[in-house]
Amino acid sequence: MSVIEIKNVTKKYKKFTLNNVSFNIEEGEICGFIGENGAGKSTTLKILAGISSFDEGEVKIKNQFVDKLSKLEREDISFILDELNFPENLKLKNIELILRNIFTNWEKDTYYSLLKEYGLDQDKKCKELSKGMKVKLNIAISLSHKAKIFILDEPTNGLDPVARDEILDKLIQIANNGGTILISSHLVEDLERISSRIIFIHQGNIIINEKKDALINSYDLYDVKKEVFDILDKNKVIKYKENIDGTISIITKKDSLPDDIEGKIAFDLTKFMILFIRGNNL
Amino acid sequence: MKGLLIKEFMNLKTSFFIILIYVILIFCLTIPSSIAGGDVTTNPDPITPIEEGLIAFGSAAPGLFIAAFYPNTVLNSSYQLDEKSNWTPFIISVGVRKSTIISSKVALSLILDVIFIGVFLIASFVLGSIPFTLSSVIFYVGVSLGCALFSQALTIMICSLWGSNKAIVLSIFLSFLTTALPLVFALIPFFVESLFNYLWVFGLIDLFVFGILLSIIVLVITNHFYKKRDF
Repeated sequence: MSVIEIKNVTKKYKKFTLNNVSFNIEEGEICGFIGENGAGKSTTLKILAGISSFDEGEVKIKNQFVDKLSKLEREDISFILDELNFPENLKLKNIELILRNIFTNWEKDTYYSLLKEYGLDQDKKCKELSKGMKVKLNIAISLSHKAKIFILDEPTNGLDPVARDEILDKLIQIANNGGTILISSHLVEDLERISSRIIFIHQGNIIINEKKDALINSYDLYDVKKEVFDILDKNKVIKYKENIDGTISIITKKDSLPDDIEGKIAFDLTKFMILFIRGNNL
Repeated sequence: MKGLLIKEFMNLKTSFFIILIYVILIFCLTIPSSIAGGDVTTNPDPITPIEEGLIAFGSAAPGLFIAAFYPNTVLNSSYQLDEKSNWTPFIISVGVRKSTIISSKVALSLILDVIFIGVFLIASFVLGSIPFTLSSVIFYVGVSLGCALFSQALTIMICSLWGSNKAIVLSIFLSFLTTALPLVFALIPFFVESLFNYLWVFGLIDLFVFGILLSIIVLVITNHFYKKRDF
């Protein structure tokens, strides 16, 4: 069952257009939303979270139009930014007092037990938390109001590798418990690790929307020497980019080149994305 | 709404000492001015009872007037904290309606008005700078609350639609403007001579016209455009 449905959504700004964006996300899926800065990731997520409007198209969550969701239905959705959403001087226990009076489904015990589990001191002020702690607190809050759909905008941005790993583990745990996750990031390796589906947005257009395994099985990556590149059947090359060391990176459809071509490399989503964005067409 | 107000008061708690210092400063201002002013008969050229009253208001109870504008500063800093912490997009995403956000700011400003105007009204009575009669209470509360409500409605509009940074400059300008409005109002001979020969009537008119009617219009316009605002 599709939990999130976006159909032909268009939003026009003066210098940017989110153009006919469409995708579905199934229940329990972790969907990685990839794209360079300014590609339209945050705009799409904000539309989904109901905090930005759109000009055309349809956005549904659990088969309901996003602007028609009741407060209780909205509590199922958690929109997590990389920063905390509370004034810096508030203590974590003060936050509980506020949220208890905002959420209908709030569970005080869950909140405090998650703070303990995540190693967060309830007497600490928000400004005393590290970036990683803030993301963990946001996750704890989401779980305390029993959110089932998690929309995360660059949550691992600026975190050290250990904190990133911890956050990613928690997201996998949430998905294993039935949560649906849409996570945007330009840290592609993070998304490659946890996502079951990859959506790739470029200049406001969805370029790729596939299951991760299908994506890996659909394309090949090569780093070939110039003389090899020159003799290749160029119709098979989707994108190419010349590297500083003189080699040329290329994307092809899976198994479209002969087996004896040297330079095939393991599929790497980061490299794939860079080639797609910066590479040239033949 | 309750959660939003709790958050507002927790914010206030963190800036408690700043507010306390401000209260003491205004209080200190009230004492010398109440000694120096207060007697309207000493005014060189009193024209009408309303002007006499307003002049007396400015000289005898400036603390009350300033207290009417101070909630603007608190409102502005509340919006600043919201913007800095991404609070508004967060609560909208969890289903809090935009009109509830506006209502919580209005409720905050009303509570602050009651506290500030109340404290300085009592202080002015105790210090003897304004007479302790029903008509004077209606006049002083009417004018100060009228100015307070209208200027706060404008501050809410600017902060909600264009952000708190723009509101800092504009709210100073608006404070002067809203202070000047009742004065201009009083200087119109037609009103003064034919309708409001009594200070308490002027106080009530000021409260209803500036404080309630115009504020409601400003807040309805704000709510209409705020609903369309993206975050």
